[in-house]
Amino acid sequence: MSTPELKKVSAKPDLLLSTHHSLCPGCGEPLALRVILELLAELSVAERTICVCGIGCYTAFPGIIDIDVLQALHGRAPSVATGAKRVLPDRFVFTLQGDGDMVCRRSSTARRGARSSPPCCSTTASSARRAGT
Amino acid sequence: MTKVLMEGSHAIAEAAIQAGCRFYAGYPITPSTEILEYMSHRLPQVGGVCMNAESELEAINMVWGAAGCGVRAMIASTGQGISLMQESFAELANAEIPCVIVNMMRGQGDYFQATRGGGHGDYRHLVLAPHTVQEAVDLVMLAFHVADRWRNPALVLGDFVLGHTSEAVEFRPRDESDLPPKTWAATGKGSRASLNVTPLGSPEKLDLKPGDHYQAIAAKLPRIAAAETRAETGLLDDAEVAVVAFGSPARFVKYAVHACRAQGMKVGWVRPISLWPFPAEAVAAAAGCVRALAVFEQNAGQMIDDVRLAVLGKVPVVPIGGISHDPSGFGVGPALAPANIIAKIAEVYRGKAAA
Amino acid sequence: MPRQPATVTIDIETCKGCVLCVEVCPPRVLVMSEDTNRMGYRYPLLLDGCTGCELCYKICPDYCFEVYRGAAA
Repeated sequence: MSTPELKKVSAKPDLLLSTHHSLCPGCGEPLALRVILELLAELSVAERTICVCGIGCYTAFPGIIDIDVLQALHGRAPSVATGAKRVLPDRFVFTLQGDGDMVCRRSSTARRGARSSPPCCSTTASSARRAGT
Repeated sequence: MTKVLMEGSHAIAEAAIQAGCRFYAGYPITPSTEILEYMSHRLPQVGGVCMNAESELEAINMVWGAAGCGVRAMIASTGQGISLMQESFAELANAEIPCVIVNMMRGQGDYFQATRGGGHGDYRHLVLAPHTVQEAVDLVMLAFHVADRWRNPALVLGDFVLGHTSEAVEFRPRDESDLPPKTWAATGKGSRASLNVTPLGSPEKLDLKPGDHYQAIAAKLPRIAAAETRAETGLLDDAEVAVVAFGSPARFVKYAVHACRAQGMKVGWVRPISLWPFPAEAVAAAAGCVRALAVFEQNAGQMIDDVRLAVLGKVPVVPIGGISHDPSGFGVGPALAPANIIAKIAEVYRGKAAA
Repeated sequence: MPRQPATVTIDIETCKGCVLCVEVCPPRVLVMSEDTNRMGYRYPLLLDGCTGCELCYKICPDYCFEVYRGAAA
């Protein structure tokens, strides 16, 4: 529908392989994912990125993002990321977890991941489903 | 090849390093703590990483991360710690991530835990049970090899006695040229297509196909069973009774069998080395020649189920072991005393023991 | 001040009918259809007056929008 005078200024991120996911209408998590994917492309780190995904809604993501993914179990992503970062210290390793996965299931793991050296990055995109968060 | 005198736990750790293990995570728990301690000073010497995690649950998931990136990784614990890791074991098998797990048991009560698995779903681990420190060295090195070959966790079942026995051992490198490169590992996509390492489905992006994936993993199990069954037998040619035992107690049983022979009793042994896959054929073959099988294990009766399944009622199967601890509770119990084992075998030989 | 020409394309078959884009659109040029797509959701239709602000693209959880802008006339 574009005419010669109009230029495309926004479209789905290059690192998104498909717009089809099973998250609910109106969910905020895909917005956080979009920002993350745009940032990885902007920083040119996608080739050396390992994403450690949590369990829950996030299992919708490994199949549609064009980066290497280690799928972890519920609450375990910071531990998996620690193992990955320790053996491949030059890679960019981050976790992608929901509120239940990171906060309810094992917040001590996330705190230790934040203290560890070399550091990993943990992100949580909370859909605020849990009253405690 | 030079032999070196080493305590069992240290030999197990060194064998892992010689096999190329470069990541270890663990939590201190008797009688596996010495493995963590040895790894903590030895692994950095070879450029590896050793982590003392907050608990066994975090430790096994650190192993998950390292092994998922293609690095040989190991964890050791005892039964209680292995219990904490069961969900992770089941999903490591589903994710086809190879790793080595060492259970230094207190007694032998973890046979069911090891061979059936306490996790969910249709998965198995390769389980190897050494009875000497040298065999532990060899089987740890084998465990890394078969874990990589089948992309499945492998479990080495030791115990307190093995861990604290010192022997002169040799580290004999294996030929590993038949193993393919780990192109499945998550390392950052670089110039190749991105991939997933996941227990939830196939590794492809966009179409994970969980049903096909789980079926393919289950289909591996009979192939593993056909290739990785191991057992040792002795003095069976004219035996009238055979004793079935695994692990360190099997060493005591062998001594007792020789003593029985000296007393004129025609006794032999069958020692399963792989507990999964269980050497049912070797046990069935022994049952074909003897009057009875005696099963010695330091628990309330676990391997005896597999023996009975292999024998299918052909001959009586008699338990002669049992739970046996010293005051420490770590399994060095009076049942291991050769005089006790000899007396139990003699009861079976003379037809006085109940099946 | 002349407004720059702008428009969006909408992948209506991927839309899950959450209506966030309609709520967030500053010139109020998005309205929900009466029809439903293959998944059974109603989807946004574009009226005249799009400013190319990109808020619909930013708010959409299903990445349905592509935004186009030109130079100011």
